[in-house]
Amino acid sequence: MFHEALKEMAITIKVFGMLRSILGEASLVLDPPPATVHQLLNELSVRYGERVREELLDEGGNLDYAYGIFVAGEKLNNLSAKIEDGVEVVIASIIAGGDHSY
Amino acid sequence: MAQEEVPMEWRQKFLGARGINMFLLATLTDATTNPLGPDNPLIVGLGLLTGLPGFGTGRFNITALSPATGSTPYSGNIGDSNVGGHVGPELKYAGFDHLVIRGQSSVPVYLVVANDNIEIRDASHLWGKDTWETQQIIKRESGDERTRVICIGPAGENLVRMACFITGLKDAAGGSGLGSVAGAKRLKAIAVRGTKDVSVAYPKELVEYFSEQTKRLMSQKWVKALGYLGTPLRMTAAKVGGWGEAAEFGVEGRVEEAEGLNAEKLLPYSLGMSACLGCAIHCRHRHLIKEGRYAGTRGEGPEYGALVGQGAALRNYDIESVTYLNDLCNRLGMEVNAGGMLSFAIELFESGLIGIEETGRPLKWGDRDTIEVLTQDIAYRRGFGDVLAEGKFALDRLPPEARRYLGFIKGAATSRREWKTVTSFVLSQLTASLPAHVYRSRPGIDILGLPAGALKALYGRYVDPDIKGYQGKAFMVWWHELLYAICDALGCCRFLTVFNSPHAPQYEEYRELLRLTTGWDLSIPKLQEIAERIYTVERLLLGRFGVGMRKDDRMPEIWLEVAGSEAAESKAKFEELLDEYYQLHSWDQNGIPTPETLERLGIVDLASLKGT
Ligand code: SF4
Repeated sequence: MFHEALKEMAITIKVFGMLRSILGEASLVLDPPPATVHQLLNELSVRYGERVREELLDEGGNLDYAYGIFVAGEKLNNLSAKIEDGVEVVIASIIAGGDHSY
Repeated sequence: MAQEEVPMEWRQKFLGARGINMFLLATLTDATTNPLGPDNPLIVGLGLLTGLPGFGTGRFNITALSPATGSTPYSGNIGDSNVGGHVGPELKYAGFDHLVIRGQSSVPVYLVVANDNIEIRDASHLWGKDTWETQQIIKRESGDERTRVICIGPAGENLVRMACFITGLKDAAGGSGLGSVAGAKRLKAIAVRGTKDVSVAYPKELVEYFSEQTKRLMSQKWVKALGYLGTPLRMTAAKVGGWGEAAEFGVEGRVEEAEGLNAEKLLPYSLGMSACLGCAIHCRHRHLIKEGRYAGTRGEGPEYGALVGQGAALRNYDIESVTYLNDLCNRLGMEVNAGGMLSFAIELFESGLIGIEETGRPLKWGDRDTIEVLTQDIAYRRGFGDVLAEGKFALDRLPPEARRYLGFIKGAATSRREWKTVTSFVLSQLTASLPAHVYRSRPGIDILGLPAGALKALYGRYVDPDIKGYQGKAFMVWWHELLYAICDALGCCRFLTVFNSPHAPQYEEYRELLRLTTGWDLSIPKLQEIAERIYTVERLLLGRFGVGMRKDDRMPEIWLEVAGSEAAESKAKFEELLDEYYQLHSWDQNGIPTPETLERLGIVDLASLKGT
């Protein structure tokens, strides 16, 4: 029972773009789940090395505009943003380029 | 054939490329010029910096009246296309900045431009060849591998209204049907070789500045991402950010399948990235499919536009098929998805408006074989393809109800699938000086989700960070219109200005490049005034074709249908945005440039030209 409850709290991270090439993974599960973006970055850096933090943060230590960290379509814009238990987090490179008219 | 110096006054007023091209288009045509007739000038124009060290300076513009968006099949509208690759710089090294091609040949011809000299040659042996073969043959015949070629394919020859020019494997001058303008002139290609020196004001400092800026760019993460996965990156970002077009997400029940078109799926086929001349980014894949049905497919791309156009918009989620179709369109010299006509046709068939009697075969979503055949049929004007080759004028040969499936912005057709959720993107498409164009003024960075402070630092005023918000969005669109007009007139790439990142080069960097190359020290307000002049000339041209007023800047009905319950509010809000937008341009409440504005910009003469 206890184990099952814990599992429900875990968050899934889906990774797209540059970060995927750095992590070598398309998706991963963090259990126990991080409570904030800051903790999420810490956890990823412990697992995959400091490169993660270097990649996701700009020179001023803020989230780099080249990435978006999303929960249910909502972009988390700062390190203190909260992450609810059990959610799916998407980390993706963002560009506006390329378009079509069809 | 005549050669003249570009007058200094033109340079000062319009810089080059799109700027001077538009001035020429306005002076050389009128409202009665048939876009597929001999009087439509095909204008090739290099930016002031094309071919010099800069920010993606492989780019240039091809401009003519468009045969795709006029009010009748015989009337034109503003047509323009920005293209990259290597042929623009080569033209600079051959000693030319602009080519104006008028008239019509009775036999197929191509132009050979080499060091101050232009020759017209017979192209009978090239007529019928695709764009890749054409380039190979011309290169072989020239005996010089470094000859660069831009040409049309069968689609342009057959006056398909969605025909484009192709140079290299995939660089396309598309969007305005200009391939068919060349086809009507029986101009198959322009081959260029140049070995002349180009003199600049401060060569040593220019090289130093270029390498320092390139180094700075290369260290930025958005540049690295674009150089690793290219524009397909947008597929995922648009989905998770909720700012994409509905088609990208995959239709109901097939969302998972649509993941097959994500950027990462291209990596197994990528042979590496390639670039336009001198660009640090390298934004496109060279691909090879080694096995299976499409084994041997080797080309460049697909870009995001092809992934949606040949893929998601047709519910074709097979990335190998999309890659193959991308190359097929490039070889035929035709826009992907035939500029939207494939999706339109399938939609009509599925809704029962047309049947096998008209089409000769069933048209089904995701049927890659039919998509391939229909693509060829359009380019060669076979069977039902001949109807679709007419672009929006196909409506004249289809049941009247077919009109319900298209909307129009300034004469350009658009579909439901094009509805976007980003206010600034919609406004930019509605007001674009190139009808319905998605790139003319798109404030790309609006979707990065920048905090209000970062937006204020960039724009100098409050802009709502919410992509669905309205405050500041008119300013944003206006600001990007001006920036991109300068970017185009200089021959720089939009991807290397404030489009994907607020940290990308913009006015200050352009000023410095201009100073080092020409010795001119232009202030930012002066550059913005030049941009305003270019944009206003384009607005006058739109007016000449009856689509340059407030009524022409409104959302088409089919978009309002998608907006559903939000439509009424959107409509009212967009009217307010238009008020603000016209004020920023100093145009009147009806969206028409005022006499004072024309006076200030020194273009009164253009406004009084016939038909404007
Ligand atoms: S970013 Fe891409 S399209 Fe632009 S100049 Fe560079 S390679 Fe060409």
